[in-house]
Amino acid sequence: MCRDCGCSLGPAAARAPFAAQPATKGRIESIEVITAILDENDRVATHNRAHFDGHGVLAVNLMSSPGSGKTSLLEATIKALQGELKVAVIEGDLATENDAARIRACGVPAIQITTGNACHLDAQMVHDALDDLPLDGLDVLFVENVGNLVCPASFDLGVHRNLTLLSVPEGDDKPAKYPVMFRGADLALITKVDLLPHIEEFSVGRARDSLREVGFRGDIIELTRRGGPGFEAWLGWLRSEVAARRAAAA
Amino acid sequence: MCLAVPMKITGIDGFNATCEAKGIQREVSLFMLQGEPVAIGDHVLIHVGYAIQKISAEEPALPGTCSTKCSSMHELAICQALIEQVQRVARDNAARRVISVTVSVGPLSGVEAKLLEHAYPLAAAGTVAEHAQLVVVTVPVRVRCRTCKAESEAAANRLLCGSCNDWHVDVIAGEEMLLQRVEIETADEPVH
Repeated sequence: MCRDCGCSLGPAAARAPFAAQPATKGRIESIEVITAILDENDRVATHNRAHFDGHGVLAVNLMSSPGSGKTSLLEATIKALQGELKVAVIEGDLATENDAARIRACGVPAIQITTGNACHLDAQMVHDALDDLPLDGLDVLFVENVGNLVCPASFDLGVHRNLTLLSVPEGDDKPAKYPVMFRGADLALITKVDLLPHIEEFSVGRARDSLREVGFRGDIIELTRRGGPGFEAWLGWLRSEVAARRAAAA
Repeated sequence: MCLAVPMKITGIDGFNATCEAKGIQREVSLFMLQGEPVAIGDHVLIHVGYAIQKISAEEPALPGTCSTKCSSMHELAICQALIEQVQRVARDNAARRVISVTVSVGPLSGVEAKLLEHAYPLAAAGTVAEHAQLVVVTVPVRVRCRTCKAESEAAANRLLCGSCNDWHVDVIAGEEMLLQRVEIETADEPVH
């Protein structure tokens, strides 16, 4: 190692133990592989999906920035569907059990995955959480991903539907800034629309155009958790997805 | 950039230690921590095979340390999956070492080539691919227009037809995240 700055260069003699390259003696071969790098995650995801299908449970992954209203939406949804659909939630966060506690307070089972410093959930984490979560009798399992618009997009969890939330205070250019996340979603929810009168910078039209430009092809629902036609449209979407899942399982 | 990984020491032998994080074991060097005695059970930050700093067990989860630098952590998780595959190829082909690993990555895969290159040495440390060169081939995004049938290159956040500007397009390239090729040296002596 270089004595001046600690870099890995420096006099050859001093470098030798750090750059321990064996002298080439063997045969060199080039092996064509061509496999998806995340094929192990994808394998576990397929297994998770089969597990959900076996129980006739609709599994939905919620993704967004931190603070765009995932947990609040779940709280309002659970209350609105009380007695109609049986719901459980897997919560992903870097730290704390706060979100799981909020969901349990609504009277439904919640498993908290604290990822430590990992920025996303992967299929194996969801699989492990399922050990503690009986699926019998459930209609919907929500997976609330770690609040992050970058990393969760690359990992299939084995859910049936991916949702991305975009809240009004975040700005209408989020899809253009984080195209991979929004493109991969099946449904986009523009949340906190009750704040539109106070945040004139946000244009729903521009947000919709931005979603189309990044290749998002699903439905877009504008809503606030406080109720109204958008919230009813969201519940309607959920009901029809549950019905489709039941029909597929029957 | 979050290029150091917090790990827990599970064994110490002189200047070498065995560390563990998320079920992954690594042999690391304690050479850089000579002024700071460490013991089994301590948490340390690992950077390219070296423990560089002793940390408290809670520190990794604190905001402002690793959690805010998450994007390189996500590339690290992908590199770890990549290394698993490379190790399998190396094992199946009786490789003595891996010389190079070629991957192809499209902008729509959500992976940054630069961050992948930074994360690779961390994931490869202590494996047969430790000194291998990582070659990242970046595949541009291409779309085919459903309206005018033209094929064109597109930006990841503007998937429009380059010819007629319509958004009714199908992505035909740019989503891939593939291990393409592994170049290895086998244990055999060359036959003359």
